[in-house]
Amino acid sequence: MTEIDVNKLANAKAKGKRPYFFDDPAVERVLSITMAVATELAVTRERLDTVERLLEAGEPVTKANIDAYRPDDDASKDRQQWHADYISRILRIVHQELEAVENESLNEDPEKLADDFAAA
Amino acid sequence: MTPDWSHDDKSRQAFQRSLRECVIRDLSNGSRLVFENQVSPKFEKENGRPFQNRQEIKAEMRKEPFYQAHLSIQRAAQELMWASVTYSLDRQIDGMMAKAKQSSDTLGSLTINPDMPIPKYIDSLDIHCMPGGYTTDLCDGDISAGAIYDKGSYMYGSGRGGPYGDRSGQSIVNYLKREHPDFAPKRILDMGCATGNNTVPFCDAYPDADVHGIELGAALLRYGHARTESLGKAIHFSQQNAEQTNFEDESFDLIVSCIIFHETSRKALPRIIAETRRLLKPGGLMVHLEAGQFENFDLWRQTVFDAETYNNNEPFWSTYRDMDLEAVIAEAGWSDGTAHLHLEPFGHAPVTSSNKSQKNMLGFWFMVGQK
Ligand SMILES: C[S@@+](CC[C@H](N)C(=O)[O-])C[C@H]1O[C@@H](n2cnc3c(N)ncnc32)[C@H](O)[C@@H]1O
Repeated sequence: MTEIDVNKLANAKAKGKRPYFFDDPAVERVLSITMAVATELAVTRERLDTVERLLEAGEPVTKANIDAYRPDDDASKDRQQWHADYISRILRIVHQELEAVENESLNEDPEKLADDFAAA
Repeated sequence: MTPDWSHDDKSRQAFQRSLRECVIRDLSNGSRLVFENQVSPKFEKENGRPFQNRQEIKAEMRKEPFYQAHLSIQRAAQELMWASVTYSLDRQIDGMMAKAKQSSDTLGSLTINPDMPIPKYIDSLDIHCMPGGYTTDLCDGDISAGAIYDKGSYMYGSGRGGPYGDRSGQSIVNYLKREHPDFAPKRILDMGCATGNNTVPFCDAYPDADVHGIELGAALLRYGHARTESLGKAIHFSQQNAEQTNFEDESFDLIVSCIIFHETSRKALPRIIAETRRLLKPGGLMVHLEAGQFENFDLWRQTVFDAETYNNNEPFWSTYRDMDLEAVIAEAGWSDGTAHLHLEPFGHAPVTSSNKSQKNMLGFWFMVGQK
């Protein structure tokens, strides 16, 4: 009988005051939850990918077969690529902010342009 | 000792690795752009001078929404990384503990000292946000900290430690074989060895030597002992503080450590270096491996590294990187010319006097000495 509650340990707060980077701590909380949810969705997506690959290979789709499945090199590469694309999709606003830093011409203010065009 | 990860555990860990890569590469690059294109020019315009130190940069960057998001996601990713490893011990930990308990002492040995006081710099907070830290001992025969550290540090280093997590130890061996090809140590000590991953290369490099590893965390040692025995290697593990050990004077030919200095304290560090000297035989060698001092990096890199202090529970990290190590070596009793600092660049390229002074060189810094 185990004396260690692994899930409790995994979810435990690391000792030491946690830093908050946004002015409003609620933003930090939401972002942290979002990253955890993103992780769990990626886990579910990969399970589905396993199901598809078993079906394609004509193997019975049982829980045991899913759990025993080990991706070969190609499948691993596909999955890694999927992660990278998926992360780009969920962090798109962050990437867009960066584009704006790299390229000033993306930053024309529509309100100012409205005034400009009203006069032009 | 590797657990049998479930399908979903593997997926969770794989995703954390990808997220980490994204944070390290894209978000860090992004923050550098924000710094170079916006924050730095603005500061110069307003103050008529460039930034002078990382504290000024930190103060300005912490106001930037992009940098805030970067650090916040990085912190979340760090927490989720450890969690993804820890969850997977569910249903495994009992079997692993049973296996560790049965692990025989045929090759090496394990000595736990439950009365050893744990220094404050180790248990005041969980370094790198690893839940439970290095020294939590949850039950009789606990190995959890070792299992979490072993797998987690592989992910932490994005696999760069190699499949056996022994790259640091390996790089010390490479250095010794190159610089001291005839050196044949009979007794070797690794200080702060954690689970011994970086101690194992010394068993392979010097098969006739007695190899010892000391560490503060009991669960790290129990796991390390079982892991090492299962690899067929002989290491004598004991729970001891490197500031003051129970080994006799002049009892080792070679003393090493891998990245422990920055996790100690201003007073502990010279004590560890002095203890190294006490334990070395005349002619014996010390090689302590660490990350580079701030003076070797430009201000932006310093700022990025410094963020670890507050974002990743590394309270001594920045102080260490600012310390005058030459002075510490002298303070610890190494007289002039007997010890020095050496940069071993990643990828085994030999050091030359020209690249040594170059900024931002990535590599391991060694504190080398011969008694
Ligand atoms: C970043 S870890 C590195 C572990 C190992 N050397 C490796 O390369 O994987 C630092 C380790 O040093 C240990 N440590 C720190 N101060 C110590 C001390 N005074 N005596 C013994 N171990 C110490 C910590 O408990 C921790 O396991």
